[in-house]
Amino acid sequence: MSLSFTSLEFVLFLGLCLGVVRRTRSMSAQKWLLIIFSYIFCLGFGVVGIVVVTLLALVDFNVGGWLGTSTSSGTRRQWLWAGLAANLGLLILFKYSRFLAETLAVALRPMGVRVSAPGNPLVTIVGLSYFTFAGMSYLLDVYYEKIEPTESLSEYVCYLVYFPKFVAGPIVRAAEFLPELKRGVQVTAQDFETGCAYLLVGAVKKLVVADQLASHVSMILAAPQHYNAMTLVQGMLGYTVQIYADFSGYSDMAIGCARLMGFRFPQNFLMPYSAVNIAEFWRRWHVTLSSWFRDYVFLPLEVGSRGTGNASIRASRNIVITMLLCGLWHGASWNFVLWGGLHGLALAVYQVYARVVPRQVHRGARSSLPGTLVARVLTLSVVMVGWIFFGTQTLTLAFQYLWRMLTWTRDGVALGSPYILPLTALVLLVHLLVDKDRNLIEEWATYSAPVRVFTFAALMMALTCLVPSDGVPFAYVRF
Amino acid sequence: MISDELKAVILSTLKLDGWDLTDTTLAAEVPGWDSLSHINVVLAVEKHFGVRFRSAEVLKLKNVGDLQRLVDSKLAQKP
Repeated sequence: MSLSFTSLEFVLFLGLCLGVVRRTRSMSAQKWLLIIFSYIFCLGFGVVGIVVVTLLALVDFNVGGWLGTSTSSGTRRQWLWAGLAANLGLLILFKYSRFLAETLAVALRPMGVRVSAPGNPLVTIVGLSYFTFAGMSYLLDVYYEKIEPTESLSEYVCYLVYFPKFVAGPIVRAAEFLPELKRGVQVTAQDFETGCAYLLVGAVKKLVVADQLASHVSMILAAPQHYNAMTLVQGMLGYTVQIYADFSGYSDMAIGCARLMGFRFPQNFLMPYSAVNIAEFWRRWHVTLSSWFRDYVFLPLEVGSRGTGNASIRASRNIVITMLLCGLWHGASWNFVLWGGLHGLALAVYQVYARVVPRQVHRGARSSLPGTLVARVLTLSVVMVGWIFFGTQTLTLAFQYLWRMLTWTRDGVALGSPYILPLTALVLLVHLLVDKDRNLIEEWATYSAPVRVFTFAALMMALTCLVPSDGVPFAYVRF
Repeated sequence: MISDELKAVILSTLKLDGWDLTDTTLAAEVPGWDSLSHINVVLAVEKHFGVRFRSAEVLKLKNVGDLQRLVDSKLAQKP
């Protein structure tokens, strides 16, 4: 049985873990307890995943050690490639093998070659995309001498399997996690209260906002050919809010769980829908993934190709490659590839604009309220069109969806949802009105006691009264 | 210690005036020094000092102090 963050079983599991770990004085014992609890948590997703993550931890740990001790640049490069191949190989084997076989079969068909693609993926390993990316960031950071390799295998295993981030991130770097683990579980009263606030806010985002929208939105996305344009617009707005509330809610809960044990995880969502350009959107959306692709894909591409050809064209090409891979990371489907390509194209256009138009000019345009509003609406429009590719199952459905919306099709079912417009308005208004550079949960402890008590009570009330009866799994778990 | 020459190259590439750069300054702390302008900074430094960095050397840089040491080591190797 898998433990979802929003289940009662998980609350009991977390309570037991906190009770046991915080009563333990020895840091070594704390670390082993965290590993044991993480393995119990991971066991709910299947034994194969545990075997795979443990073997990968062994490989990464040893390769990291060899990267740290070897002085020959050629040998270090070979070890790096071996380590990356182990991580990428697992990803390809368990996540992309069917997709690659299907693509190959389609590509070879015109040449008369018949290749039968496998019917089902080997085994679905929950958390695979996250722990392999964590592993690769560790190897690359050791290779580029940004961090020292850890001397403790158990610390590295804990880094990969630590349960608050195992299923769907955030993709915490070893440089962020290992020093905190070495320091031991130290929780202040403020940490505890802030952790609880993160958990509550995350649960409200997921259960009250995302899950309320899920039923209507998933019906629209599943069969857009049946609905009129007005309903499709509502579906697009609804999904825009649902995917944000779902994943940022998950991230808040992961950050909250870790904070209850004294660990400070990086933020994953920084009011992304308040962005005034697409580059800013990616500095605010799934920050730990976008910064991973920036540091380990885009920058090496840029550095390696610097000085060759036209700077704008070179940067645009590197951006598009990076975003196509970012799209593919989300799943073995052409929908995700196209979604990544769309964002890559938008980012490339923006970087050309930013080069051509002096910074003072576009800053000046945005300093006025209408200018800011136009910039936000434009950015959000690109993001929302992208979500259609992200949320539909096939490219045919995505293009049907777009076509029916753009041609304003009046025939088809008009589906009324009492939730989509109010919840969309609520979330977008929060993004519009709250200072996007503030983190209200981190400021929690600075509020007066009555404000904190009232807010806690309001969040609890929302959780008890407004949660739909049918639970929906977290969206990003499937990636 | 960051040389005035290196400071001037970085700040003029980023079109910044009067920003203090120290050994421990990170790119993320300097306005406008993002992943795109990072390459412009590297290219400008290479051109100004007449040196060429290897890709791995650029990717190892953690802060402005590392960049200064890299420039110094390359200048020391010049005939």
